[in-house]
Amino acid sequence: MGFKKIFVLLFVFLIFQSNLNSESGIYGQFQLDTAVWSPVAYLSLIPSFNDMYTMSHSMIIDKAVIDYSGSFRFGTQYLPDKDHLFRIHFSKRKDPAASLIIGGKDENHLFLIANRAARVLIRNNCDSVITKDIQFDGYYPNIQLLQINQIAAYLDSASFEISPVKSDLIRSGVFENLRVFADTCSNPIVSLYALYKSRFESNFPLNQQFYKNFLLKWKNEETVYFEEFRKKIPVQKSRGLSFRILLFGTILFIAGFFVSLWLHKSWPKNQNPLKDLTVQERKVFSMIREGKTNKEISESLMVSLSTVKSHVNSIYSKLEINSRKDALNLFQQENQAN
Amino acid sequence: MKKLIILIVSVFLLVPMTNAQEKTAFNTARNLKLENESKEQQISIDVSDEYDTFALSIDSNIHEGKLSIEIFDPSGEKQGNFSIGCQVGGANNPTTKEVVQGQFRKTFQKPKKGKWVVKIIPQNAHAQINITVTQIQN
Repeated sequence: MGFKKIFVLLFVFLIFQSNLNSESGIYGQFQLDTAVWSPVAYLSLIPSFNDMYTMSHSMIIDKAVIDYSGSFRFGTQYLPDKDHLFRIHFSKRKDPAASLIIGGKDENHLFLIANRAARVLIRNNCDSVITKDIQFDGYYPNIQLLQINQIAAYLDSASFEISPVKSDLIRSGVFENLRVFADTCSNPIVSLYALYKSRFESNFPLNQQFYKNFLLKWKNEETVYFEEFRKKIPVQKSRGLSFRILLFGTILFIAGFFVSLWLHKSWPKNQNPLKDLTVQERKVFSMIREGKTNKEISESLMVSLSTVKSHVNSIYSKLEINSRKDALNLFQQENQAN
Repeated sequence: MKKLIILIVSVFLLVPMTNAQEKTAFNTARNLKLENESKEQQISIDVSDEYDTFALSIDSNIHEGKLSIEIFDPSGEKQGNFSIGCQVGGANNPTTKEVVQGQFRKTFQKPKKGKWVVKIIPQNAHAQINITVTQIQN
């Protein structure tokens, strides 16, 4: 009985412990010179990759006090379910909370990916440059983010004492590595982060198929980050087969119309217009030629007057004439020609 | 012996002088104050063959409006950018006056020669910008 109680207690303790360890949140452990830096960390939501280096008070969504041991924590329960890009920054004591320092030994920010359920652990190993030697643990996309930063950082470190040609080769190599990273990465935001670091704008005209395939791979991604990227990549969407058939048919129709128009104009007109008339119309025409009226024609052919009128109209139309007089003239012209 | 001492002293005196002549730094600074400004401005910086290092430092702060700064090398490639903005504050709401600060520091070794451009894009901005350029000749 005693053994059973101990077993239950141990079980409850283990569950409690595992829940404690896996609690979502962004946990930081930073070495800061508090004489220079305020002991506060700020969390900003980065709405698009264009805004990675934008700073305003409205972007800051949370702040956390850094305790004496350098620890701080941001809750993630209010974050979106899907991954988003965030920035943590620190401010110097003399500076406003919303301050962004890019580059140099005072660089004050780092980027991370998180969502509501993510557990992110961040640590720095250098207090002289607070965002140097960053170490991520927990939510895996951040470890990949760090790898991308390390690849991109090679650009700066490799530019010392080398020729411009070699520098260009190194740049091309670094950007190619970043594209490979983007191509093989399974997280959409990390993948896009790698492309932005590779300065895709200048590479796109040379490597369009790569970007077409990339967009195809992430065609179901509907985040703002991808919508923005799609606008920057003017890859034409592939049309369906039905659209192509319709387009081909329309082109053929238009071409056919112009060809027939051209043939109609260029071919000589029918030399004997009477050939266009039906047997009955020829009979009517010959009676018109003889000077008979419609009534006389109807009696001769034993058809109604309206039928004769219909034939006469048809003859006028086919011979392109307007009156009986024109019909007689036409007849005389044909005789003269013959 | 005396000659040797004179020689050593001379060497010690000359070495710092030659080192001092090895590097020459050329600094320029420019300060801008924007008052409700929305007109785009460009600042050109000539980087010539004689300098091996080009360091650009931009300090800016804003208390109303929006300000974007972009840095382009002579080939037109963007080498950096940042934006700062204030939604509240200013004359309409002085009690909640806020300041936003942006700084950019970058050192280019063997920089591309030619005209580097710092583009300043304000939107109703009340801001201050300090641009410092250091070019070092090795």
